[in-house]
Amino acid sequence: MCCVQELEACSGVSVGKMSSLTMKDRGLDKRGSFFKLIDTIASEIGELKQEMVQTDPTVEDESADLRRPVKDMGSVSPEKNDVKSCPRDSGYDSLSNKLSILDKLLHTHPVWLQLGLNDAEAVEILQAQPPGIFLVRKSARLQKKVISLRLPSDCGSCLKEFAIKESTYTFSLEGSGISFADLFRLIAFYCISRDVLPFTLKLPHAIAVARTEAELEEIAQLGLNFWSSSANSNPADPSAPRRPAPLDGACKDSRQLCLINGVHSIRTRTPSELECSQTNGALCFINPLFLKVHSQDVSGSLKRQSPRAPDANGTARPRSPPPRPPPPSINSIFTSPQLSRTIKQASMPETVNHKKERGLDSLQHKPAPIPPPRLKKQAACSEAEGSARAAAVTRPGGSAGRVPEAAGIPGEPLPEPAPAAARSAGAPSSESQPPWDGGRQRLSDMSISTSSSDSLDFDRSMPLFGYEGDTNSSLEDFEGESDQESMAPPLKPKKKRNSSFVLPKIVKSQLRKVSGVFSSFMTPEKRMIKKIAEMSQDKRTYFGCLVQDYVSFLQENKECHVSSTDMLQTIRQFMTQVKNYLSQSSELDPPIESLIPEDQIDVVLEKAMHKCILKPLKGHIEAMLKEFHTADGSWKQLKENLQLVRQRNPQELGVFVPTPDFVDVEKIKVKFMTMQKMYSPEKKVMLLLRVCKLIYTVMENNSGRLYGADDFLPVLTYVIAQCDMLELDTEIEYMMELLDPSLLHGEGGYYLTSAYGALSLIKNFQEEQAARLLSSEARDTLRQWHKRRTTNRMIPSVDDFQNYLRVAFQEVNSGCTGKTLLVRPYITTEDVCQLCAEKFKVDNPEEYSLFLFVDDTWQQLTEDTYPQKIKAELHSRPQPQVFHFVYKRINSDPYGAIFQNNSDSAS
Amino acid sequence: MKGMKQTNPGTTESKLETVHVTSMDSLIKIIMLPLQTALKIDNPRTGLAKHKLKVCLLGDTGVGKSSIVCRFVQDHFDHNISPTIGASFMTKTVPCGNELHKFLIWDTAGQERFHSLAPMYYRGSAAAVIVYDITKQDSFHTLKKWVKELKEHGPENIVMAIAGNKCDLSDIREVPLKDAKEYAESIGAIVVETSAKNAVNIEELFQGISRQIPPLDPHENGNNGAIKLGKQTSQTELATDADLDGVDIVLSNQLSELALSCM
Repeated sequence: MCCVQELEACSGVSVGKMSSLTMKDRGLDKRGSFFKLIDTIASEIGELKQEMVQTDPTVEDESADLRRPVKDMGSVSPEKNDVKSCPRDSGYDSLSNKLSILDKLLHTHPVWLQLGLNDAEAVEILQAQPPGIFLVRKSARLQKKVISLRLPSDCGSCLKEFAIKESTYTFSLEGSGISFADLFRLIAFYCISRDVLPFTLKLPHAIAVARTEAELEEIAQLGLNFWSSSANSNPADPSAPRRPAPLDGACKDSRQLCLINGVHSIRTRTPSELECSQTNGALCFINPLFLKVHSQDVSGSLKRQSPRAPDANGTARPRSPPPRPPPPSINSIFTSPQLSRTIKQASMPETVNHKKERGLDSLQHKPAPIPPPRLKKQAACSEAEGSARAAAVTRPGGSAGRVPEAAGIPGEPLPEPAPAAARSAGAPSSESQPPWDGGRQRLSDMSISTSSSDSLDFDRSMPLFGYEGDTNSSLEDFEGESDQESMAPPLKPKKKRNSSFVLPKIVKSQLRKVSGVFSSFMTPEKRMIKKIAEMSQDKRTYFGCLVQDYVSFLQENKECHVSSTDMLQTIRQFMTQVKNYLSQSSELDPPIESLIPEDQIDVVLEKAMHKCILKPLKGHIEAMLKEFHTADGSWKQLKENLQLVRQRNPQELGVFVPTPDFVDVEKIKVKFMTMQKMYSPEKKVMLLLRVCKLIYTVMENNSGRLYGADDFLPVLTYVIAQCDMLELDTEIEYMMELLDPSLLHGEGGYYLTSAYGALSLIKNFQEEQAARLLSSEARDTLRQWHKRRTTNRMIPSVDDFQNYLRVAFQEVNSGCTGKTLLVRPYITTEDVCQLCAEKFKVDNPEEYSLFLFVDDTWQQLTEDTYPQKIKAELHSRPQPQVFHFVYKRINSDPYGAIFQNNSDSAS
Repeated sequence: MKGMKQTNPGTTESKLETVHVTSMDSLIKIIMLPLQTALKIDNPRTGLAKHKLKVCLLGDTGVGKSSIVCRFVQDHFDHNISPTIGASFMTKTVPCGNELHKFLIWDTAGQERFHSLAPMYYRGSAAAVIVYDITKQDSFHTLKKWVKELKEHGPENIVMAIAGNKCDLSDIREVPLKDAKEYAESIGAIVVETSAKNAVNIEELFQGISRQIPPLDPHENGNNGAIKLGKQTSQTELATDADLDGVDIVLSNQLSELALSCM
């Protein structure tokens, strides 16, 4: 066995020399590529070579043993041999290939995420693609997002649609019980596992083989044009140079086989079977947790055990498909790693057959299970090299044996596998161990650094289509994948997984599970909000400009608003508009639809608006509100009235139920103070609700009686007075004007209304008219709020009486008639006169004009005045006056007196 | 170990799923419940479209407004639905045809001194339940005043329902049922005599309201509707606000263009 010599040679020589070695014979070539892998690592670390040179010939057997499984597997997929005539071999590639499927999906969503695409366009694009290629778009027919999947041409129609179900927190495929936190995770999962699909999704070849983010960015730049561009050539073309011509056939065969297998399984499964394989609607948050659990079952234990027990066959076997038709997901999960392993191994040095035999002896004590289809495929590949079919059967064991070397989930205690492996190899010599330890250690290091980012590795998931040899160890991918799933945030790919080697693996993975569960539920929303908030700071985006300009404009131009309401309403309007912009624009990357279920988008955007608009403006808004209220004297009035009301006993305020005592009032005050610190109107409302809840608790006083508004409103008024907080006035105003209008009809809206009402009562509380009506000023404010609410609802309603003007028509003969006219605030007297002429059927309108009768005097309104503004001004006078708008002849003054006497209906 | 592994991995997986999902689901509930309570987030898992209906309760103090609502909400009380913090605002969801009607019931204080606050409560209401006490003629007069006010200032197309409460006390009745029926007919309102105490006609009262609510346009549901409406609003309001200041105009114009292009 010249293994060690080669080892030395390989480690000693450059890659170029290596390739010349490979010319000699195939076996050498294979070994060459294997060692090149080691070499790569060695040169990167700068130690391996030295250690290898030290290797004693006596180690030969041991090291060969160690590597045997690998070689065995390598021997079965010989086509890789020639594939590796290209400069990079599989091992090298896999090490440098650090992009997970999730990463790839995230980077390239402009290509496959095409929500605006219609049916015909989707067909047009997908027709030209190989089976398995997909698009995600929104189906106008279903009013849902769908995966449009290209089917093999023998399936009748060329593509099929799979609807995506969105619940409040998750995305799932219709008919599947597996739910995902976002669209990317869903797609990534279906790239590996078919579940309810006929086969797994396939990424376009260019994306699949892309190795750097830059490459992906380039692809993403193309967007929809990618599909027609040269970048998206059929896998056959671009990969052709990578696939050896003579073996292409074999490879194709196996691919065909896989494909047929995939399709086959859907053909044989009746709809009822498909149904059975699902969890019938049960909400299953599978992704982070259960993949992990499962992979631990199989690969985790495998890793730990196989090195110790040479017959890893048993542990490896679960990877073979179960006897009965498995749910598709599992099948493909397990198919893919194995296949990719085959691929990988193909590049390994082909060892002499006796190695294989030994592998068989040592690894396979049991009769080989009937090779499942995929093993046959692998066998088919290996056949080309002339290896025995049995080799294919050994492979599972072999791969298992290799796992500890290359793989190892992050956090796995490093030293463990190697000695174990050495022991299992049977003849470890003390001298041989150090170098191997070193080599192994490095490999482990590598795998640790790559396993997380290699998660959801593309190639592993694409066993049906791509046999390129750049697959990483499938098991480590698998581990990493579930891990990454649980670690969640794809938006900020982890640069490294710095795992502590102290924590026992199981504890770590449990922790990861828990955190994964949380992060996968919490992060999409939080991530989105964070993303939007970041974008709002970024002036390079249109959105960022909008927000920053607006915020700084408001802060610098304090005079731009005439009243507090005006200011708050403008801000609310701005938030609504920006929200609309964000939900429609393509500035958000990835699109919000891919992370947030549709019915939650508005909620998430609203929160984001609070964060990026209200948060920076909060101080300014508060200062301005204070200024407005100090300037117009309303705070002074409120302060005086608060004083008056506080001196009243509860009964005088109409309270006949238990009231909060001093301690409760203090508690409530604390809540109100906390409220002042919040910028989000929703959170403020939450606190208001807590205050109300506390009031109810006190009122009910364990009596079990339920109190309605008749009792609650007086108590609330009493409590607000007791709190004696002027700031509450601005707090309520802030909430009322800035809260998402869609929430105003709910519980928050109700208690906000009640609190506002209570404050209005206090403001207008006067000794002599304790139970009198609200001042017209307060009414006006109410009306304004009402206006906002109705306009937000966009239902023009009669109740919006601010838009109506009662005009009396005085005619010499017929006395006086009144009509209510629709007069918007910006309508001038001239327009009103025209309207009156129409309504009252006046033949000579030029002789008539609009008059205001107030304080027993007549005032003719000039044409450019605004009757509604005049009305509002009159309403807001402290002492309400009787006034009338009268449409009458300009020269009819003598009759004014008559009208004056008769007037009672107008206004 | 081996045996387990050789079983269909799928079953293993789904088993695990189910086990964990129970705990997971309750976990989510714990996390999300307060949020849902406060913000009334709809759960879209039910296939039916949910139509939120604001209903306001008007009537003299002491006629039993809140008793009617409590009876309505608490009979067949579904403990899965998060209760509201108090009886002044209550919700109940009932199926109606292809929709779910979620009643958001706003109670008002009946005392005269709170009368001026009423518009805040009834605006935006899809329906108003006006309650009188059949043993108090005065309360029927108050009812007429409310009807008049709603006709003048209330929302257009508001569904009015008249409830003559305390029909269990018909021996001391002051308001004949005939009067109420004639009056209701004249204003086109639903009328029933109810007894919150004995749970008479309470369900029927709300069913009557449900029947008069026009069905929801399927595409104007929930948030989507709100977004659409918001967009229109912003456009119309832009016109009025545009004259306020310079920068605002610029911003607004950009936005209105956006809004227009999105329409």
